Amino acid sequence: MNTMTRAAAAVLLVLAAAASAQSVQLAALGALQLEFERALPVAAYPGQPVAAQVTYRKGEAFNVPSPGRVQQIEYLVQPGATVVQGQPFAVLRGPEMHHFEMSYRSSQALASAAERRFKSNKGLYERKAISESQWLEISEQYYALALEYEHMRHFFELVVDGDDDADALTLAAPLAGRIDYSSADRGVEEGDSIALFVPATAIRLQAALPIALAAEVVSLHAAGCELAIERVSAMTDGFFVQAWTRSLPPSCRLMLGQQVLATPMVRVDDAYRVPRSAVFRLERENYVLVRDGESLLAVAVTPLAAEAGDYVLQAADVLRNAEVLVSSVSAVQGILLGLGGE
Amino acid sequence: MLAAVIRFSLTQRLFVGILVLAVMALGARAWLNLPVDAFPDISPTQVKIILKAPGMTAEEVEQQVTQVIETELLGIPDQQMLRSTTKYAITDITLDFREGTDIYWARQQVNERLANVRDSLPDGISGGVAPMSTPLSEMFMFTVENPRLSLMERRHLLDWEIRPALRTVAGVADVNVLGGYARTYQVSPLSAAMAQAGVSMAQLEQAIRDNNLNLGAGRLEQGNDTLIVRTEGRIDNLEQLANLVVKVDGPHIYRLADVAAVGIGHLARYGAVTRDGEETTEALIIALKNSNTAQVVAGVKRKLAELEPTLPAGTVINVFYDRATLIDTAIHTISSALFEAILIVVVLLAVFLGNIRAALVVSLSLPLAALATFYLMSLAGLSANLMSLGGLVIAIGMIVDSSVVVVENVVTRLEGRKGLPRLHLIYRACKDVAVPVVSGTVIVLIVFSPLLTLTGLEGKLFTPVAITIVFAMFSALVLALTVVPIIASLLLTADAGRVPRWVLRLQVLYQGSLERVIARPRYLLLVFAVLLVVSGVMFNFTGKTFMPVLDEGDIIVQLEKSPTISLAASVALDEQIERALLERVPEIRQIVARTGSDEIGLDPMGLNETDVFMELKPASEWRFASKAALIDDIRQVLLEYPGINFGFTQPIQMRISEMLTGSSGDLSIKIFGSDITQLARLADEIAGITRGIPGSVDVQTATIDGGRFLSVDVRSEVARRFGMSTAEFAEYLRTQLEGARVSEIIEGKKRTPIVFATDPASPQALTTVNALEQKVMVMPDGSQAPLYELAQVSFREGPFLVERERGNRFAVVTSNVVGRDIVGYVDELTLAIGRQLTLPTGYSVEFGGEFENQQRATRNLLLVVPAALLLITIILFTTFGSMARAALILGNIPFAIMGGLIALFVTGQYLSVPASVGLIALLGVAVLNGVVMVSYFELTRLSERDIARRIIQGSVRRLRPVLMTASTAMFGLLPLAFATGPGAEIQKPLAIVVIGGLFSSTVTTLYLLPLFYYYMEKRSHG
Repeated sequence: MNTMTRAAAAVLLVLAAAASAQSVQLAALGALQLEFERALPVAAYPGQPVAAQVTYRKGEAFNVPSPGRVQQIEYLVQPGATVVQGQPFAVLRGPEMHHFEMSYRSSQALASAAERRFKSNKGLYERKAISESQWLEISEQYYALALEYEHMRHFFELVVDGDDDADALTLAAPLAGRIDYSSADRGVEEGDSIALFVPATAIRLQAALPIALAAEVVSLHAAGCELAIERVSAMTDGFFVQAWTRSLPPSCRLMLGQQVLATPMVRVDDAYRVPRSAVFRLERENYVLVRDGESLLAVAVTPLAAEAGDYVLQAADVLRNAEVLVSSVSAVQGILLGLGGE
Repeated sequence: MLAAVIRFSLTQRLFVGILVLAVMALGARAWLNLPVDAFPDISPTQVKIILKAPGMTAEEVEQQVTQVIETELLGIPDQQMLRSTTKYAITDITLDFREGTDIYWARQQVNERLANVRDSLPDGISGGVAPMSTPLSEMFMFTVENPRLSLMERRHLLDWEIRPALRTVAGVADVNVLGGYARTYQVSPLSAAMAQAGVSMAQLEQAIRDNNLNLGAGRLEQGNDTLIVRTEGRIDNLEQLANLVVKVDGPHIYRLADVAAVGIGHLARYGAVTRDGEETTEALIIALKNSNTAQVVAGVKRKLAELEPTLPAGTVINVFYDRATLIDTAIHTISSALFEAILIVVVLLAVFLGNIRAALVVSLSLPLAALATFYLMSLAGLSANLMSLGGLVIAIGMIVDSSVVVVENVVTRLEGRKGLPRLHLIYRACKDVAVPVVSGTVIVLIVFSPLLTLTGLEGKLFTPVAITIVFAMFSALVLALTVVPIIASLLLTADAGRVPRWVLRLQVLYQGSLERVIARPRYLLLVFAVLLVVSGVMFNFTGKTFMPVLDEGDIIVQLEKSPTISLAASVALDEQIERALLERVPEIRQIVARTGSDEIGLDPMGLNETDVFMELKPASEWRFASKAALIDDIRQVLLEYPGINFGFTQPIQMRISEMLTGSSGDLSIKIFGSDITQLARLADEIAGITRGIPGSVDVQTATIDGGRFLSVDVRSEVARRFGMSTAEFAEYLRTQLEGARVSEIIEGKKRTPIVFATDPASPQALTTVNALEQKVMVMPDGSQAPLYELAQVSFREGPFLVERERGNRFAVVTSNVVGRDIVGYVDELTLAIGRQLTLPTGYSVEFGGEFENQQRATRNLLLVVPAALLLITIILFTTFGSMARAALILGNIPFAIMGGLIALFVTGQYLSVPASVGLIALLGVAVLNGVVMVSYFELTRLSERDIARRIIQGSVRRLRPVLMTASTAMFGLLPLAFATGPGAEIQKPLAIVVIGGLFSSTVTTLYLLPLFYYYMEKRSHG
């Protein structure tokens, strides 16, 4: 076949290919380099990163309140550090430590006295020897003193060392977990928290997810951790809703309070991963070229997100394990547009 | 006066000799210093405006930038053409001024008008009036190769080491840097981190701008001294940039690195360069208009040689285009033709004169005339190029005519009058022929002078030809009347006038044949009548074209891919094709391909367009005998890459086409109208019709419509709640997609921009529509909102490209024409379009490109040729005092043209501008021969009463001079007619026409002219 005939044949093949709507014969692709890769099904795609914080839900932390105003606290561990139960974590210092001791003892004595009185008067009340109002007053006093004593007792249960000379009390961790004493920065008054102890199982990521996406987000990726979503708030915060993941696994090296960028993984059906070089646009649609015997079929797709050198895309037609053209795609696009030749 | 000049020369021989030496010295100096180029400067006075409008679609740029500027520019006087090409993010407006308009005045006018509308252009528009160059200024190109340097490092080297150095070379207008990655300090704002820190984009930008400053605070007087006080905050490096304090909130200090990823990035790429299938970086030297190309190239080479040792180890400057090579080759071709012509003429003179001394006298006038011509060229500011030197070659045969006449008369006198003093004899001999010599030269000068009136490309190309011929003829005339008599007096002897034996034999043969013709003229008349008719028929079958294509040596293949292609995909296809070409076409030494736009924007190609530049090995290493065969081989390779349009051109050819018509191709069909979709449809239909016309190749339509853009319509009611305007919104998006320049870091002489941009590989990168919609934006108040809540994202359609001429949109279809003449092709195409297509109201079709030039050239020549004929008629009438004799001599012209046309047809050349110039030259030569013959008949009118004998004797007597002038002219052009190699193509048709015409006109001068003169004399004598 002479050169002119070959050229004419090539042009005819190209034209024939172009005439067939969105389908091109492999034979019409001449010397174009053709490489194929299989489309791999995926269940989720990465959304745009969102702000997230390593935190815990309110109520999941163990609070150690102060029985009174504390002049000075020396924390023995770093904020956010992991402590074991019984591990000394703070030394309270100041003259009021004596007051704490005295308060504890007095409350103990008062509670004992009140208990005795309560018990002795109980019989009288049952025999109607004392009036209802008197009994009520005795009961109230008893329970109040008992409660006060219990508070003090619980506090002093945590005291592992008391040094009268140094006016100091050493406190031990009530449970294992991360310690948070950030609220103590402004001083500790009576009733204020000396420290919070967050069990490891309570530490999780909290993120604000765009409302439209929130229901479909299955997990958050941050700092190498993949954390499944556990709870999504039903209340909105502007354009976002708050979502919490499951607790951080031990392998996840995130610090409590840490602000991170998290990539939400969005659940999707009929989605596949293909190299970016496979996707092209024609008219109003995006396509990939799927090998079908000796021809290539253009299959409409919707790219959802990019991940490394790939796209996650949704396709109406089944692409599972289909061989997708990943090189010279733009040349085939040119053929479909009627380009080619001199 | 002429006698006085000759007398003075002969009496003051030493003085004249010194003058001659001085002229020789000046001529030699001029030859060495003449600006050397391949072509004369053929560009019109042209001013270009290139403006970049980042992120704007073609239609937006057209409406908001191009139209505004065009309206302002339309008022500038002396403009010939205003055209523009608007693409995504760039507009290129070109204004051509009338011939002779001062370029500095034109640029001043354009600058003033541009300044008037600057304020009304959208923000972010950059650029302005392009460097003062011509489209042919791209005269040196090289890539920077170093396997140890990344593309970014190589680009940085080009930008900050090589480019600044080369810009210091005299005559360099600019250095266009292409390919690689332009280094930036990249700040990728992290939306979430910014929201957590409560920092908005505006604050971030402000922080960088406000802190990256060194400011003067004034002076501090200390004792007797003054100390200058400065506040220094300028950022010097990446670390300082990363540590820049953005916000202080109580104990919290937020630095740039806390809210953004700070690193090294690169500017958005609008183009790339590949070499032999690998990406690389390229520099393109643009010469100033009117600069000496050869000197500029030499200066650039010197500077590169100085630079190379200072570049990082292993760096190679790989030159792939050097205009000097083309200049050298072309000038060598034409110089060889010149020297060969001189040699041939000298040999011919010796043969005809039969005397070495006489031949030497005439021959010496050749180099002297050439040197004098160079001196006059330098005075006139002409450069030595294909055209001007070609003019000299054409003139070589005619230069000797005056000297031949003078010397021939001198030797005749010397032989006949041995008793008189030699100098006196020479004086009288020269004086006798002075008037005919001057009038003959004047006729030739008049013949060529109308060429000076040609306009356009043909004018720019052939004016130097005409001027050089005028200079050469004038020099020859002066030499014939001054120097030749002196040399004759020194060299010629009494026996110099002896006619060679072979000439005597030829005279006998000629006499016999002439007698037979006069006795029985009908056979000869019949032959010439038939030949005249045949030449007329041949003329109709001779192809017509504007200009023969100059073989520049290198080949450019222009590729056009899918209009929406990405740069990476475009480059990947280029690399495939390059590898295939290198593998299968061993004639290619290297391939450098340029995709997309250049840095300056002089050639704003789309990402789908690639110019594949092929540097070829020497022809001796080819498998093919011709370049056409090589191109066909390349074509076969390209045909195996479907889905990609391609076309062939050459570096200068491409730029000339673009310069003259705004598009490349032999023929450009412009469809004018207002609606882009309609224009695109019509262009497609016309392209289809064009493809059906025999001879069409490379039929292409620039894709102008079908552009689909993502339109992000801001919901102002939502965005404004957060204090975000549409402009801020657009700016925010630009930082995410295109990148936005915020400031710069100055490191010595290097300036590296600080750019807000997103690393394409980062999770924040927006690479799908879905990702764009989900993008969480940081609002001016520091809060966050997903983009889909703030704006509606949809697809919109619009043009890819908007081309305009004089304010009107048009679409263009280009085609090259092979194997037939372009005029006939256009005629057929016009008929086909008229038959197959109905244009809507308001739409029109115009033909341009080379065809346009040819039409203009034809119009010009139709005015010029009659004017030349009229002038010759006047001179002939003045010389002979008879209209009949003038008409008799003019009657020789059709036969001269006949020979020219037959020669064209037989050699397969097309009728082109050079061929037409050859035909004009024939007018003079044909007339000159007639003058030589008729003037002798008239001279011997009284000495011989018998008409037939007078004519036959006169003809025989004039045989030698007629043959000498004709053969020196003919053989002098032979080297040009047979020359090969770059540069020969343009002058070849001219040489062929003149040779053919001289042959036929010599025959008619020797036979028909005496015959018709005989009839005329017989009739006048009753």
